[in-house]
Amino acid sequence: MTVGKGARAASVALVVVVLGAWEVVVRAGWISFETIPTPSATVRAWSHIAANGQLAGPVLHTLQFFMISFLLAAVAGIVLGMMIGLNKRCYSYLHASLEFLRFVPPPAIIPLVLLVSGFTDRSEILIAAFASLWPVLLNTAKGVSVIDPQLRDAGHALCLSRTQLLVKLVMPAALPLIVVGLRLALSLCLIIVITTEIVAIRQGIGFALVSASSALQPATVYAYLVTVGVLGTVVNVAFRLLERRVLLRGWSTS
Amino acid sequence: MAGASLSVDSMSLTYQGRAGGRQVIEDVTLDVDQGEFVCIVGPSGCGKTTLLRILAGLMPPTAGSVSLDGTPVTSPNREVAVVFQDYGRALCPWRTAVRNVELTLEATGVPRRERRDRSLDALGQVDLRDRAHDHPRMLSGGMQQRIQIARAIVGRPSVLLMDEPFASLDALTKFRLEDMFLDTWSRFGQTVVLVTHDLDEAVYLADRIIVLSGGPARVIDNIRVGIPRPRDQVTTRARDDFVALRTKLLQLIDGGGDR
Repeated sequence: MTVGKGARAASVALVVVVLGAWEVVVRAGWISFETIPTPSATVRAWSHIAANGQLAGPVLHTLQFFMISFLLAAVAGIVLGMMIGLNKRCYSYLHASLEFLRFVPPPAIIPLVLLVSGFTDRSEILIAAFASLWPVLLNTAKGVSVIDPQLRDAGHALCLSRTQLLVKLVMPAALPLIVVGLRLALSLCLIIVITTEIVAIRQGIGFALVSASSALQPATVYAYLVTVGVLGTVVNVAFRLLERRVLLRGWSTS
Repeated sequence: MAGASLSVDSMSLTYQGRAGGRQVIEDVTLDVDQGEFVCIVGPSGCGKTTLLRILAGLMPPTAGSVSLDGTPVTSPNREVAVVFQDYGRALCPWRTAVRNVELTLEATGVPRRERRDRSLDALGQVDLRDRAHDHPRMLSGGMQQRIQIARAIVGRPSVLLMDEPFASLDALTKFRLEDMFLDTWSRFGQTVVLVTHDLDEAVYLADRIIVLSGGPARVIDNIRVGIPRPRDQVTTRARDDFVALRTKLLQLIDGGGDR
């Protein structure tokens, strides 16, 4: 989708107008809830936590655990997905189980993992990696299990060896689906890391949110929320860039 | 690089279905001489593509045999290159034109440098050298089919098998590609077997036309095309013998086809 310059300016203007209106409405006292700070109070809270180190620590923790979990899920998902998808019998035997596991809502496994490995860093990684594993695994398995028969014929006619067929045709042909899996896993992983921090692990942005909330500091809660939003956006944009420049170069027309 | 002879000896193919067997190809015997250009024509769905896949060693016949210079064909062979009808699905969308062509040479372990040089050269043969670094999606259908032809000829095969290579192109592009291909063929002299349902195309391209009947495919005629080469889209197609031959083919296929 291409957005014109006008539309882009309008979308920025919309944010400015809404934030401005919010500021005015709360300041004027037309609505006053103690839990709704003005945007300017949120900015003050943000610079306060940024200055006293309550921002960098949690952000780094969350980012670090998110990246470790995502990488684990990506590597394990691609390797397992290929092993399963390339073996027809294995794939058909496991299909039902995989479909079942996929539909277990990821946060539901938090108590189980806590039971097994306690309130530890390892638990946070296990929970997030386990949750994000499925989209990668299932998409990879599907991607490598269906190759266009015409392309397979072409590969055979060129006398490619089994390994060459796999590395030069099957795997690259599966790449778009694998990337879809990775993209799904990416958002899921961040969600689960923060959820885990909120409910169990006393670190990271999730925990910082809970702390600010129990300390009755709404402006700080909003400051962390904005930070999480920015973090999510940055991660997504970075991945799209990786996708376009590296992973799927040549697939799209542009 | 010069051609090889190809022969098919009383070959049949029957698909075993739940409701019993369905015969697709019935007792086909044919010979293609070294360097000869043979077109196989027949009604749509008569098993032409299946016949070509068997010739390529991509699937085994139920009975009979195929041999290349006297050696039985049981699996794909480097001496035989195939051009598929659906270029969009036979090329790798993630590879540039030249990298698609290189795939042929990667299979045979040609060193990187030589691979690139020969592939660019093959793209030059099909007049695509200046688009060598574009991905297939950025190219027109005719250009994509030219990549496939370059990919087929870059390994210097002695036999080219082509499955309706020009069928999904518009008329003008098709004429241009037919001429370009005839030109390449006249220089390299491969043996060509081209399957088509387009009778005009068969008469225009071939030395000899093998006519198949529809379901199951049987050889119903074997016609030598005496039209001199080089051929020309305008004058050749206007010749009396061209028109007469086309009429004859049409009658054959109409009469012996769908019953």
